Amino acid sequence: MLSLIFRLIRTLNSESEPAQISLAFCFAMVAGFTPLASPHNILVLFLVLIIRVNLTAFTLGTVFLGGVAYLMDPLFHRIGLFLLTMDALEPLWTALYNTTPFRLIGFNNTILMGSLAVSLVLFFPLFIASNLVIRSYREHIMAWVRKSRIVGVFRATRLYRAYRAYTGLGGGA
Amino acid sequence: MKWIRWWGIAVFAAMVAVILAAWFLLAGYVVERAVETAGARIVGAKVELDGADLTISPLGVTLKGLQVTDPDLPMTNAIEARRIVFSLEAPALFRRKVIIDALDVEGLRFGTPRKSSGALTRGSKKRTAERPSLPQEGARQRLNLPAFDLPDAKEIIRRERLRSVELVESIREDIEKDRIRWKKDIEGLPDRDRIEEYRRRMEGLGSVGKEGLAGILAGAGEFMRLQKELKDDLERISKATRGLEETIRSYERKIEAVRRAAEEDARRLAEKYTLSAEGLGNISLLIFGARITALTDRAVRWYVRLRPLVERVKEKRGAKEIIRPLRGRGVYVRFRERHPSPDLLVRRARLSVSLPGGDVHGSVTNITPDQDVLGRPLEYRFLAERLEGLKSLDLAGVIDHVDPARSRDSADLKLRGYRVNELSLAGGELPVVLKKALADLDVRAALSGGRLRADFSAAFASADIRVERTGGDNPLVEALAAALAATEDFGMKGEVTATLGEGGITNLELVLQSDLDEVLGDAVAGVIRKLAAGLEKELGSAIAERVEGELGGLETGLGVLEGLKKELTGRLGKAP
Repeated sequence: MLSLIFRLIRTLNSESEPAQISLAFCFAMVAGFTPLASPHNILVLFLVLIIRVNLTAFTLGTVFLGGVAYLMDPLFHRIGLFLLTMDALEPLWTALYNTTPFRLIGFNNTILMGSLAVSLVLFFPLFIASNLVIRSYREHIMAWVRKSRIVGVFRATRLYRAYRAYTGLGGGA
Repeated sequence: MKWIRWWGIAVFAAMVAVILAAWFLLAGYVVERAVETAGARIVGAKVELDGADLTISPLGVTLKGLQVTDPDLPMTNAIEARRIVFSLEAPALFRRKVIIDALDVEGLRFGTPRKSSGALTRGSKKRTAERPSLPQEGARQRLNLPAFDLPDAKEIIRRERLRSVELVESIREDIEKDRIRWKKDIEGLPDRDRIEEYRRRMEGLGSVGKEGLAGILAGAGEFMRLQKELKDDLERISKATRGLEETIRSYERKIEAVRRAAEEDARRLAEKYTLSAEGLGNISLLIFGARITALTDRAVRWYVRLRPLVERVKEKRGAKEIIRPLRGRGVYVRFRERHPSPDLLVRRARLSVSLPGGDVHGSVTNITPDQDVLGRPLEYRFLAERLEGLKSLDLAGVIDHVDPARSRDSADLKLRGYRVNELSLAGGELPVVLKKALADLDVRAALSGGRLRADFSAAFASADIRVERTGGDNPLVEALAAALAATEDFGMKGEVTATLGEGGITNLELVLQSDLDEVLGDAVAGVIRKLAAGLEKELGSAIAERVEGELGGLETGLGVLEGLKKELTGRLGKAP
């Protein structure tokens, strides 16, 4: 886990395309919020592997947002129930319910529907917001952080030496 | 920048291959764990499998060595099956439906011993929190006959009101009042001096010289007047004497009545402190009731446990149904299907039940928690013939929850020539054991609208009934034991009714009639009569002792009245 965090910090500090990291966070949100064993996550995994997104950011994001999802399950359930019982959407759900792929993913489960809906709605806003944050970090914060006294103290710690040792080994997305 | 990572396809393919390979390798274990976890959740006790195999073509599962612990008896398996084989409809699985065409259960046994406790551990219990509410376990009924440690006769007399003693007290008060009244009355009557005075005056008239005819006539007139006065006074005394005599005689009659009241008191109290045969009630109900109630209680508890398999909680919202799954998170909303089918369906299960006397074969059709979707009820039938210790068995029934609001379940059991061995019927002071008997049993049970009703009749032949006494000296137990030992053939019929609601089983009532009642009633009546007679005799002596003491005081009061009578008689005797 520590190596993943180091790798993420290195990625953030690298010249990697911010969109690759942001997209990784967005896919991580889908995989993390929705029940992990749901069949649609195979598609997410496929997309993550074939599209050049940052795998470290995806892995860390999935772990972190998966934890957050446990706390948000009651909310997902309410949202899912609301959507699935909306009269206006009933023809759509009925049509999907009668198709094998959608039955297979279990879209009619309230938590799955709620979490999927939330993650899809937040997908593009998160993508744009992440991009902005990463760019801003690189432009303004990274240089300041490197010069700050706190970082100076941190550089004297064993943790930083471990980080250096790790980054010295290389790796990346 | 290149956005496509072509080697990612290879990685994805490799990952899918690894996942599939792992799944194939671990499928048996996964199925095993799934059955154990889901089973424990339904039953509320450990469900264990020796192993599970998955076959791909045709898609099927074999479960080996299934053990379902009885949650009430953790060292006993309620159900044990040697092998369960079933095939699955693969296309249905992609629609998240488990459709089993045929399920074979071999070597099904009930009530087998376990090597270790099947009670759930603390953590496992948490996971079974959603178990359906089970009926409260029926009180372990023990048959306790009325004890015949009769209370001490003197103690009974001390705490009971005695009519005879109340009579004595009333008579004593009356005697005292009469004594005062008679004393006063007698004081108003001419006394002995006055009678003596008459005598003197009459004698004086005889000794006075008669001077002439006028003198003689005057003397005669005086004599006549004195005689009349005397006669009047004597008449008053005589009348009073008769009245007093009548009073005394009435008290003598009342004292006799006290003695009769004492006997009546003894009889009444003996009846009160001994049980009548009628008071003992339906003896067969006392003997068989606990067993029948326990069996009903047990059957209902299992019914409630297994009910989720034939009906699950569904909430309707318009045309949509919200289904609470047995496990998993969230709820599933069901929409109208073009070709409706249940999420879980076992079209036909063939079961082979291994009993000590041989195998019973049966079939169950349409096992599904979505009968409303399937439109057909669950039906079952088990048949057996010429087993060791059982001539024939026929169990058939329907669990109809097609319309959950009007569910109707029924069971019809016919047992012929069932050899009963060592069947413990009741505990407590009368531990009745049916050592052996040949029984025919008919049960017809129906559960509709939460109301359970079961009618049953049984005929026992060549019975050997024993009472395994644990000591004590209860004559009633002795009498019943003797009567039961002498009984070979008997029958019974009855009815069990109960209400089955969310809180469990309530209002359980059992009505039982048996020709044993007459036999046992006669035996008990003889004992009761003997005991009652003994107590009556004791009470009679004790009451008589107390009443005679009280009567002593009365006789003293009567003596006073007798004295007054003597006084009056004396006055009459003095008359000239």
